[in-house]
Amino acid sequence: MGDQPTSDRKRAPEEATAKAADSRPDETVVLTRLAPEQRDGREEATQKLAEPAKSSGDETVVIRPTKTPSADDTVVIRATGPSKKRPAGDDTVIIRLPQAPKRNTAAGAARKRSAGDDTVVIRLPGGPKPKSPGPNALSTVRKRAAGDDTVIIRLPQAPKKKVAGRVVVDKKVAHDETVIIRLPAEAKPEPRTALDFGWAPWVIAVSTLGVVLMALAYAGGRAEAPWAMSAYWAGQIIVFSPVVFRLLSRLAGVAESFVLVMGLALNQYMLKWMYSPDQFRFPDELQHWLATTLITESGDLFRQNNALPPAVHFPGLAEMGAGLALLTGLPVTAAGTIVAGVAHLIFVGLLFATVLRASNSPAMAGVACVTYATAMHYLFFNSMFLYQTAALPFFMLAIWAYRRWRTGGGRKFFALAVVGISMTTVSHHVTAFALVATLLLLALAELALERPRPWEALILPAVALAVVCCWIGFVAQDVIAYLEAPVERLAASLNQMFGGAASEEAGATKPVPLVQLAVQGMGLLGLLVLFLAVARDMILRKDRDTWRWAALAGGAVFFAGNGARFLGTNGPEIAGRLSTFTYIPMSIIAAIAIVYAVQIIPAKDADGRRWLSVPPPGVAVTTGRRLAGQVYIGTALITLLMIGARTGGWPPVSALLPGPYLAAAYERSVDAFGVDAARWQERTLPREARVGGDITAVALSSTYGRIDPVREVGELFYATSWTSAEDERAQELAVNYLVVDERLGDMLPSNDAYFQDDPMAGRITEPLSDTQLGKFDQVNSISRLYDNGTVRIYQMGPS
Amino acid sequence: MNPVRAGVLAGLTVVAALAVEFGPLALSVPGGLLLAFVLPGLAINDALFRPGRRDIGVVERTILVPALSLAVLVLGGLLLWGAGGSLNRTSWMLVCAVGTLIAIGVAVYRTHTAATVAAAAPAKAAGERRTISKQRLIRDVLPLALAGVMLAGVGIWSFADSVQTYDVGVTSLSAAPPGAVDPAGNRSVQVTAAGLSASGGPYTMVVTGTSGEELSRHDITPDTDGDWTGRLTVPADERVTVDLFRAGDPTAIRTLIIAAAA
Repeated sequence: MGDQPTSDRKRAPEEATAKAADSRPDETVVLTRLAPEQRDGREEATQKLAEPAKSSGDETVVIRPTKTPSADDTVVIRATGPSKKRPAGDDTVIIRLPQAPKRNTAAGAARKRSAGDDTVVIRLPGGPKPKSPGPNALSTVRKRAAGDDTVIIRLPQAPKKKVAGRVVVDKKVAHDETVIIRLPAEAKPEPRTALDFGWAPWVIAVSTLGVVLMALAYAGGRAEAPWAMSAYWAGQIIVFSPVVFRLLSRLAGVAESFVLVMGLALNQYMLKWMYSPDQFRFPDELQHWLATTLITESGDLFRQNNALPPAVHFPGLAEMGAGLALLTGLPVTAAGTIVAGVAHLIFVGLLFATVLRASNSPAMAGVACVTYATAMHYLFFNSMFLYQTAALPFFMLAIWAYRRWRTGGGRKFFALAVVGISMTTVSHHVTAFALVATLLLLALAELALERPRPWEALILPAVALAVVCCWIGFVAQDVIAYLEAPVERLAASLNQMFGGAASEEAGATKPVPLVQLAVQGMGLLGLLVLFLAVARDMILRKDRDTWRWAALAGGAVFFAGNGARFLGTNGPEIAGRLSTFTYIPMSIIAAIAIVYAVQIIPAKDADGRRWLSVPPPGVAVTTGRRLAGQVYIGTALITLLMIGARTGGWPPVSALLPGPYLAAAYERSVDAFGVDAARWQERTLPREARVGGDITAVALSSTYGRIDPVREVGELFYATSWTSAEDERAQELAVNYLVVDERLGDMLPSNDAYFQDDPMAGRITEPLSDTQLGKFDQVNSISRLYDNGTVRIYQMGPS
Repeated sequence: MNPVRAGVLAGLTVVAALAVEFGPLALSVPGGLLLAFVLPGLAINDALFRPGRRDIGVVERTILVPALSLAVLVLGGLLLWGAGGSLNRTSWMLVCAVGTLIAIGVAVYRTHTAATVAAAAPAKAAGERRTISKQRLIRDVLPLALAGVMLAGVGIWSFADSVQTYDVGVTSLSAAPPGAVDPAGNRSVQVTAAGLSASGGPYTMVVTGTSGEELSRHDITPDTDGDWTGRLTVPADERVTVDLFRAGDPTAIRTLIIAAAA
């Protein structure tokens, strides 16, 4: 990804000349760098370009390579001619080789650059016609140097020291306008010198103020304070946007970018944790709490977990939680919170490391990470104590190791990739499938673009496929049946949408508020524009970077997956869960577009073509006002995406803040009354007892209660009297106990349904009536064995 | 890995293992965190990537430490369980500690077999020695410390706020599923009242039969925790209602219904 698209929007006349010259590779300054693997820390290549011959009447600097000692990456651009006074703020450097067509000085007006236009166009290798991918080519995966793409040239300023991972003007001699652009001598992700955190600590401190504000917002939510929602949004933006702004400025080196990204991840994890810091409340977290507790109690793996049977055969997360709980002596809840947080941070760190390796640009890596932080389920689902949270870091570990292995890292990276595959496989089914698909995509992209075809790229996907198939075939056979249901629902929705089939869920989808739809739509539209711009750029410049093409394909899948959000009641959830994986390549594509200022609306070429005009090869180095504009726009776009993710992700808008009980609202439905009822079940009822109830009751009963849950009991609740039909249905479901929460009669469900597989889903217009909830007391054969004033538990049939 | 580093790492591993196995919570927490997230990954890192080699960056090395540590925990646990072991504190401690020590051994062995690297390592280590300047203290440490203090502060406060908000007293009346019918045609039912506040007492429990006649009346005196439990004998052929009354309150605050035996 080091070969970046270029922006020539608002191209100055001088740059237009440079563009014409750019069409000829020999007229372009090529700044070469060696791959880190090739240097091995001992060689540094220096390319010194000197002996200028200044064109008369303008500021064109003619550069002629004089020698190429292999000790440094310094590029010297020297202008010996009379210095022409630039307009204020005009820092353009036009680099032209002697063979370039001489500018027509008569076109003086055309050549005059506008003030504030600070673009420097430098071409990196890997242009439209890469003839032989030599050791420096950036266009192939294995041989491309992962160079830093951020080039900052400060002409009028005093010499500055090289900062890790970026290029700065190292020296400027006043008399002859010599500018020494020192490229990173080592195309490595980290500096050799002491870690330079830059402004990251202060930016993180500011971001932490947002966490404080969010804590206040959550407290306000619990107290139902009217200002809480305003504080929530202000807090979200303060946590997020300063980091984005700093990363987009492209001034941060590797260490600074890494600290920014990890600091943001930590702060955002705090936002998740502070929502419910004293206990797990989300049903899935409770299910994994139980799985972990079972291990700590029994010392056995694969113990039956009625709350989430498939999780039994993916014990990665439960092992982590149980191991930590046992090693430290902490409660499972505390251990789980730590494990989820660490896993989340590892995932983000590995995402950063992977993009950094692929692009060698800390700006790219940082922007990709913060863009990914706008995924719908990033804040909650992907950092909850769920088995996917445990699998994601190892998903990224496998991708990162695959990258390192394919770029000549050797067998140790292959081994690390196998570790990543194994860990992913034993942790989460869907993530394991996604890993196989991703590795296959990367391998196929390599096979398609490289000659001779590197068939060995298929080894790791094959290994991943074999490991996953073996695990599912020999250990986790039940996962196939488990995944059938959502697939069937998706198919039914697709059939309804494209086949015109009648839907049983007709009217089941609650209309999304217009504002929410607008925010999400604008964000998606922004991403689509960036995606199309990068796609156009890559196609027209005949890009051959395999990872970039793979990212583009992944981005396309992201948009296809987003269509799923319109497929029935489960659409948004499916889209969100898909985006956990597909948003990774989309984030990379967005980062390419934003960091490298890919042309959204390209300029017309000489033939008057706009959309088919070949983008100029090389890197657009943007400074000054244009950079500032890009930073502001980029920050606004990514912040908008974040807001869209918060409104469309989890928790739903109605439960963005913690607070008093809401009916069928997952986290917001877990309170002392429900928990007490579940604890009573755990103390009193046999483990094989089958207990039904609303969504929350089932979640609590199957976890804290440790009984066998019955989810499809909606019909028993909706009936206004208990007849033989209800009796038969109860027997059919083999339900022994029913949990009845009186509050179902006070409020409508937050999520369109009181029950799982609710027969009235989406059609509930009023709360359950007293008759519906009270009928159980009138049935002679039903006993009320538990009553806490809010929740009651009935035993079905005489004992 | 030079001998000093290996010794320190091995020593730390042993100390952490001892803290986990025998230490109080104050020691077992840091010991357990080290064994779960740090030491195995650190050792494997050194075993895989010899010091002096630059095939892996600081970012990557940093991230690999917890990732590989967790991999040891999970895969080691799976192997142990597969071999018939039980996953308890001792076994998991051994998995992590032994895994770490083995990796340290491999790292030391690899260093010895690569003489040139071993020779270069001390010089590099000396060259990398860093000091924290006053400027850096202000620029880096101060804001990060500030952020850390803020996070810790709001974390504790948020935790306390949540506990306080949701810590609602729940008063419940419950019965275990009734037992078998005795020869006298009665059933014994274990009834429990919980969460009774002393200020709400005294409490009374009234048992009524199918036709509404009062079968028995009991004064309830909760213990210091606000709990009471007792065994009631009820006729098996009647649908019995158990009401719990608060002093001076004519309406039952909690009600149970025991269906007649089949």
